[in-house]
Amino acid sequence: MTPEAPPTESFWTEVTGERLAQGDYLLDCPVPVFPADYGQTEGNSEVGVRLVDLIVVTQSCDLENKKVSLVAMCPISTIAQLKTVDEKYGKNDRLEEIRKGKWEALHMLSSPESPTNNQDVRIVDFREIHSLPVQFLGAHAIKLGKRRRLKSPYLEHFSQAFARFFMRVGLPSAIQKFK
Amino acid sequence: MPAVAHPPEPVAVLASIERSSFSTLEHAEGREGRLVLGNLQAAYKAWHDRSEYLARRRESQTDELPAVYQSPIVRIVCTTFYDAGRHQPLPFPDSED
Repeated sequence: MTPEAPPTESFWTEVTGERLAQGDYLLDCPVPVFPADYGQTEGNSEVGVRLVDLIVVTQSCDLENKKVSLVAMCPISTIAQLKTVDEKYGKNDRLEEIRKGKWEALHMLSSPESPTNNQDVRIVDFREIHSLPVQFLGAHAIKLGKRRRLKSPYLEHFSQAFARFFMRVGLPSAIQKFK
Repeated sequence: MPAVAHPPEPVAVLASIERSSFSTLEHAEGREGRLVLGNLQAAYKAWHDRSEYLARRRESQTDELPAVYQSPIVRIVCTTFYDAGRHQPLPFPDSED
């Protein structure tokens, strides 16, 4: 349940090092974008690599116990970054809907720097998942130096929202609305 | 890029490394012995290693080869990674479920 009181503490803590956990906020992760015809002909192919800020969604226990070779992550953006793509992200009514959890694909997190400034929130988009090798990301995390990590219970709230997005079930027939 | 009838020489592979900004993705082996290589340095090493193994096999007159080289390499794709800028977010979700 989304609390109504203004935030008095940060959602985030600060960490360093190569050990990753769910909720890690990793800046400038390189993500390859393969063209449709990649690998179909012999010779040279070009693949663009884009930088994206990502937050880890893979469970911390899986990372700690080395059960995965790839880390699953979703894009995390500022309002300013999102507004460049769609002006709806800048509308207060839409932002309030996101804050309340109305849009399952989007999850709002407080600003890492100023938790009381709702214009500096971060929004995670669960519609996109990027996977990168564990060791590669660990090396990248070291290069980043200090990074933010979601702390409990905001982490569990975030993890639950991620699960909620993927557990949706589309029904072929709906009950008529009550008017 | 001109079509390559045979796997590229290591010199040609190394020339492409200069254009690559990212060389840390792991390489993967595809089906039918096809090597799809994301790391150009690994491409050179794999080509070099395979040549060495083939030469050693001829000398020892044995059919023993590491599994990765047992299938003929049908195709080598040497990949050049280039900086494509920042990733663009998706538009706002259109409708409710």
